[in-house]
Amino acid sequence: MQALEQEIKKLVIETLNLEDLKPEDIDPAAPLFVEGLGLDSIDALELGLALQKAYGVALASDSKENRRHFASVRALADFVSAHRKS
Amino acid sequence: MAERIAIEHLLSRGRPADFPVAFREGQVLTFADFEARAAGWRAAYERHGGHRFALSFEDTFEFAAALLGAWHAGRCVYLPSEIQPTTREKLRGEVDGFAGQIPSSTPLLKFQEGARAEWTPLSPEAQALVVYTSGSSGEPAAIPKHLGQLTREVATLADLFDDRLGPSPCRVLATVSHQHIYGLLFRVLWPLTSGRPFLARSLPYPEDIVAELSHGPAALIASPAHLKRLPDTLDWAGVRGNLRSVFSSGGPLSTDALHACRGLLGQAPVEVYGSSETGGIAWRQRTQDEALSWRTMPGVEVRLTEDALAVRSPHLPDGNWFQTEDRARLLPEGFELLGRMDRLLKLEEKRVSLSAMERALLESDLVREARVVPLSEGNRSVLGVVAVLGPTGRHLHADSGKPFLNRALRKHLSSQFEPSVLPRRFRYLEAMPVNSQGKSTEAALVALFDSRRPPLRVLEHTADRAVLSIETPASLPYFKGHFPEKAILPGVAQIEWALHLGRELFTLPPEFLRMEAVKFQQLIVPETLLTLELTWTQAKGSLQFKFTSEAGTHGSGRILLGEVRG
Repeated sequence: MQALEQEIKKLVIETLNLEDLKPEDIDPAAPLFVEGLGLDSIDALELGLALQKAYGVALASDSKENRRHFASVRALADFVSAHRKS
Repeated sequence: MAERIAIEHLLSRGRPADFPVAFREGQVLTFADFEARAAGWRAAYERHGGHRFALSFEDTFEFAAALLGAWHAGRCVYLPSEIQPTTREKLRGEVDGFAGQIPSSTPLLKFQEGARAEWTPLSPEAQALVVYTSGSSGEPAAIPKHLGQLTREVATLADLFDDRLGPSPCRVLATVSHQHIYGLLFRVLWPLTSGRPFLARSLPYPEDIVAELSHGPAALIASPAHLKRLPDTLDWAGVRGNLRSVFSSGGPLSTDALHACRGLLGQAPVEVYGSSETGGIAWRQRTQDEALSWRTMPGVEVRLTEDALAVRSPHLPDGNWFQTEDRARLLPEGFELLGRMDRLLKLEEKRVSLSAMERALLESDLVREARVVPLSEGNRSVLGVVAVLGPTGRHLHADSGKPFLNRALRKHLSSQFEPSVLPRRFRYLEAMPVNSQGKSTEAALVALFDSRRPPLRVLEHTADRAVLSIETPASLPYFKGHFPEKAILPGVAQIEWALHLGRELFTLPPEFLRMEAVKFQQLIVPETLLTLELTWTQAKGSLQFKFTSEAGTHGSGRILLGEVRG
């Protein structure tokens, strides 16, 4: 699970081109949006596409569900490990 | 023409008791009336205590008396342009009392009937006034002014325009409020100084203007908003013989409005260019030439900073240059205005003013200079900040690191800007990159965000030598495919860095001639902390570079540069 968290941190940094940040700077439990990393809804779209490409996971159209998955790196890792196709 | 008396001396010197100061509902309000009201207001401030008072009046005569009363009581007057509940609430925290027509629960200053006063001259240094900008980007800003700024400007107006109002009597009519700096100067302070009676009420409707003009000679203090809405159905021709002069300020007067004025009022308005911060800067009257340039007011100096007009003026609080955001072209007799600089950008459907963001960054106390530039990045546009840090920012950068400083600036901006437009890229420099004309071009700023430029810090920098600390993160594009088995930084990247950084730090000739003594002693692998030493020898046109790290010297050489030939 930790390996997956590490992978996802890298994916977040690469996808969103978060310069000045290294994977170890991201707290897996910290919120990704607004406070924390300060990501926004467009980042969520980009990240959703990247996750789909990397792990074949499709995000539901239910925005409340999505908000839960995007809460933190850890939440994303949980979601990916539960739904990944490979 | 009446004696000209500066505001500082108006009450102490005085005018004849029956001198007409204003008209209200056909009644003459005399200097004796004015002095009595000013004395009553002065007593009211003195009884109330406190230094700062917000004034909001509909009646300009009463306002003028309350204003002079406040100044003679040594008080500072806050002049809100409107008095909506939110403004009131905000003012409550800034002032010690309110006077005038202010609705609802606000306790008001009580005018002291029958008060008498001994008048002494006012000091030009007195902190007399706080006016507000229109706040085109967010919150209206408070602009403090001392009395001398106002009276110097009034003297200029009197020098320039008194003659246009012709022999007495000539009343001053206005469509604009005295709660703005333009109305305050033109319909209150200038008439008081030059002894022109003014109308106590405003004339928002053209019908009222026609009616007042039918009573006798007058000047009209107006704004483009009113002048572009003059109905041609009114009998302007019958009354315009009484219109001695029209003034327009507060925004640009369109050519349509200009034509309407020429046609209906029989004259072109005297247009005045200025702002709440600067006061009056220039004026013009486009009687024939529609593109007539602006003539700088006496005592006002102008120059350009990156196409935008800068002003030094006795109407400003000090002798410093004030940078406007109006683009201009200087001409022998004045200048031509070319539009606003305020750089507005649409970012993911959100409108954002880059200029407002730059101002907000400066207010953070962390940065000394800041520029915000749009960067296109894959599918989206993001904002990048190029900043020169102040002492506090430097400490934060050194102690807590760049990501922490980035977050601090984003947090500071988040009170004024939506999360999705907050800057995502930050570059902290020793000095802004400037070209040979001393300007920071947008292209030079954007180049700082090129992914091929490594993260770096300037450790030392003189006219001919610089030492930089350079990181080589694995994400640098130079490492991609060079080589697939083991990533190393190509020698050309080192030369490119040396040349680009050399151009940023020194003024180098444009032409690359050749290289000498280039050696690459050791490989540079990802995540190496490098030191780059650059030495510029102008006499030889030689830029010497040396990359070192804990492991020793990696690469060194000389790049020879010269002027363009032919």
